[in-house]
Amino acid sequence: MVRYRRPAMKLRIAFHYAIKYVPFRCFNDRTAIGAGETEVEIREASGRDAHVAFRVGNHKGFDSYGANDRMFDRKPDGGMREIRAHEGKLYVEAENALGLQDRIDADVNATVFAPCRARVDMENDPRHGRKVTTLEAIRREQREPLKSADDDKGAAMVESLRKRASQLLVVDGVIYQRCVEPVLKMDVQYGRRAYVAPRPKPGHVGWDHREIWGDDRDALFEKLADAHLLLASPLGNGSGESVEMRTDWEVVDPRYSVFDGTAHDVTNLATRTFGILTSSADGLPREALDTMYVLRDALEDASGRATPRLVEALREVSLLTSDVSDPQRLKLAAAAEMRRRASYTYDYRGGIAALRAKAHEEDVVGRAAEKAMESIHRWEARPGSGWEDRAGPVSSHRKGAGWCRELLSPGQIIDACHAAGMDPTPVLAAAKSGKRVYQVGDGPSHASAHAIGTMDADGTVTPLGRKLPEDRVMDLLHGMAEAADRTVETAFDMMPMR
Amino acid sequence: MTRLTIPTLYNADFKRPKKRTVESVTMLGSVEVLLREMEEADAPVVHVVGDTYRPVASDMLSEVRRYNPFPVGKDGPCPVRSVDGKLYARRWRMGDPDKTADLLAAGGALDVYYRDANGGVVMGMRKPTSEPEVYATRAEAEGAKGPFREWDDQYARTASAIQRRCEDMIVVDGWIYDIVGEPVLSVQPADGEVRIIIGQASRPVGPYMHGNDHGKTNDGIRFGIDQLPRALETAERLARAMDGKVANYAVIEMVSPWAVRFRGEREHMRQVALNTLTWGKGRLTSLPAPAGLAWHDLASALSDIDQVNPKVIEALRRIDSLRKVADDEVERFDSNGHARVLNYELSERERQDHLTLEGLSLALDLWDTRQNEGIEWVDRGLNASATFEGNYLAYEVLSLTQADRLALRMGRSLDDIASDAAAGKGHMIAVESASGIAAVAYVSRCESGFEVMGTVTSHGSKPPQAVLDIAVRHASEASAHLNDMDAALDDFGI
Repeated sequence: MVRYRRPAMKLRIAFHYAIKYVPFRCFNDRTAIGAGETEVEIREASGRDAHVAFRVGNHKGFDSYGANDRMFDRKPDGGMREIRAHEGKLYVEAENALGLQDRIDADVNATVFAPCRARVDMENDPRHGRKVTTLEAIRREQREPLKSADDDKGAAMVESLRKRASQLLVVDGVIYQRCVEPVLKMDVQYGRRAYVAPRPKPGHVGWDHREIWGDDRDALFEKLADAHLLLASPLGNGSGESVEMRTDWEVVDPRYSVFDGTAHDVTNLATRTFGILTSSADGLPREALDTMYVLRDALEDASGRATPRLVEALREVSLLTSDVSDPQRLKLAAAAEMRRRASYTYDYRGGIAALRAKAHEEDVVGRAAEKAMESIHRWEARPGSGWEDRAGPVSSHRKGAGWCRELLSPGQIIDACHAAGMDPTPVLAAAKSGKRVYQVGDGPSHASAHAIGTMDADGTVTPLGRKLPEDRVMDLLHGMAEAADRTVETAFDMMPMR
Repeated sequence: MTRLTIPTLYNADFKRPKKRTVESVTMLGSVEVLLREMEEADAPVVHVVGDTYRPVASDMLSEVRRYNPFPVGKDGPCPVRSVDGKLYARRWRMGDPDKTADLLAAGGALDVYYRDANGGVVMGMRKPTSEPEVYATRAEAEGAKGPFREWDDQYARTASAIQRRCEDMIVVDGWIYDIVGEPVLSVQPADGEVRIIIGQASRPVGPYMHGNDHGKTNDGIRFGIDQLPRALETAERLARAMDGKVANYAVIEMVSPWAVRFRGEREHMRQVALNTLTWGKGRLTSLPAPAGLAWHDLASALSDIDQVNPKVIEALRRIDSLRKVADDEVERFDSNGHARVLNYELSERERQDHLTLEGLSLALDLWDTRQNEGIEWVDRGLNASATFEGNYLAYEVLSLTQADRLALRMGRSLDDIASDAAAGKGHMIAVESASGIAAVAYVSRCESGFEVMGTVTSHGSKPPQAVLDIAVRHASEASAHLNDMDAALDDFGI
């Protein structure tokens, strides 16, 4: 049988690369510019193999999003950008293949190969006067032998260009570049603006509820298929302030719109609520401190998902009021403390009165309650396609480096299956038929997720996925079940000490 | 009275003509002082104690700072005499007046800081170090340095400071006695051993020594001077915990129990409470909820005034019972990365200092087994920390030591203000304002609540009504809490 060879687009790329050397009797290295040339291939696919999954188009002239968001801009001619699915991966329309070779010859940095930085702009070089050279020429120029030299003849750059080429795809004479799932991103910090952006990285939110930094911090996300729910919620148009739509989109194939924005946003908002409380934990009123512990434990159990327990804890935070029975007294106590601190005989240790007065003044409790309310609104705007109500008070478990958590939405199942290298379809079908699905990992973060397990209504456990030894998976799954049972049994004994 | 002429060095500042720089020279002068002479019967010996750990005072200032108030000399341990409630320890033998004066000047007794009439700190004596030449008069100095246009010598201030310092000394039976604080036993774990040494209860209480920290050694756990067996027992317990040995440097020849009015449990408990407060402050978010809430209660009980009260003890007991759990929890959260994420500095040493090594349990055990009849009356105290109103702060005085300090600040004697409280005749409430102690009021329960039985003020007149009101309010609010608790217990049928 003659194997069908897919057609490929061949391109010749002339590039610059760095030659490093240390002259004789010198300590610091110097960089010269070398030149090379290579040929790369871009795969081609037919329109049937790579079908359209989305059409997106952010409006031009909006400068507050980063380079990654700009790949979902409208095309220069004003048309929507197509996003195609090919072999389970998404590719977004980048530029026309026609004349690409000429454009590469003119300036490779202005094409899809820009991330490789394959050309040095000699005319605008801050180190004026550099020119392309070779190691031999450098050796001739130097009077004495070089102390050391590092010239890979451009091998690293060739590797980088090949890798970039492997992320590209040609369909019907158009170059597509790899992208992650496009989701709706809504900025809420300064006015409400919605646009299409890549889904946030899964590693950002995790077991140790680390905070998200950067411009994803004050934004809300939802998959495009359910974005209308977020837009209509009290956080979107329901807030009384209308959302400025900076984008248009069309979901052609909903199978590729899977991101669980609810879990991401609720975790983010809950983490920030917790952060507000912990920032002045030692100055909190007793009731607020108590609630902070409830939220902490719920957040730890949630481990990146939105669970009913977490929402319950957030509801408790949102009911807190910052009323202090006697604010005047707080002020007096703080003043007395300052007075004693000023006198040299006073042994200053705690400063509790001052901390409490400060927390009261800054309205820490009020801010936390507000943030918790936001997260509840976000929870209420969830698509409702998940199984969050199944999760009991304990829905995750840790043992050593191993961990196990119940998966509560299709998005979570699909992500976990990708991480474990499995086809999500049968797992999704099992979940829909009433089985409970667990993700099992043995490592410090969710990047090490390795296996999936399902549990029947009668407690029979079936491990799936091969990247983790089966006994380890069973061990963690049983540990999880035991922990959940124990909590139910001892719920009455564990009356909190109030 | 014994008259002595003490040679003294003092500084003089001067400016040369047409120069702005202030320079100084060391001058040599002499001060005439009077030492109070007393009969042996008026100044009975109450304790004969000594401490062999620390060296006898030398003439170096650094030595003076940690000088030994109860040295053991050739004649054995140091006798301590009591005059009007103040204690004096034996120092130097009187002999030839000139020799004694030199001894006083050279022996470091006068080489301490004093407060002058304006409250500034002046130094009594100064040893010439880099500049060997001294001058007796301005003319002599001008002869050596050229003419001066300005001259300011510190003779008057130095002389008065030395004279006032000598008011703190008495002469009995040919010996000079210097004022000291009450001798106490101090158990100090350090350098692989647990030392028992003799320190002072508080700084010397002479009128001109107030505010100086020298001679103060209150690190470690302290006991009354009559509590040697208890001190030894505690030292052994500490030594077992830290795997060291006990070294007893205290020499006790005679102790009069009636003259002892120090008990250390309260002070130690306060220290442990403050340490626990510090311990919990940084790791509050990683503690288990009950421990965190107990910490919160501790902080509330300590926040107004750092004084041990029943609420503090109750919170500490809860933390102690959760100590193991709390440490485990902090460990668990730490290993999860919380410590990194939430910026905890989990210092092993710090934790050892504060909570392990039986620190908290030991303090609570000592508290439970305390014997302080007639010295402290914490058990009869109100269940309250402090009350604020306007500029006034009211709190209860619960020990003789505390009352002693108050008496000192008010310029009254201890008997004036504390004898009734020690006898249990009502609650002794001190009311402080920004400018000092407004009054000490005795409040006792009557049919309609509480009423003021008597007051003491520094100036002897009646305090303003607001002061009396806040004293009564402090007492009635504290008992209102008690009433609430009674009502709650009634609800449970207890």
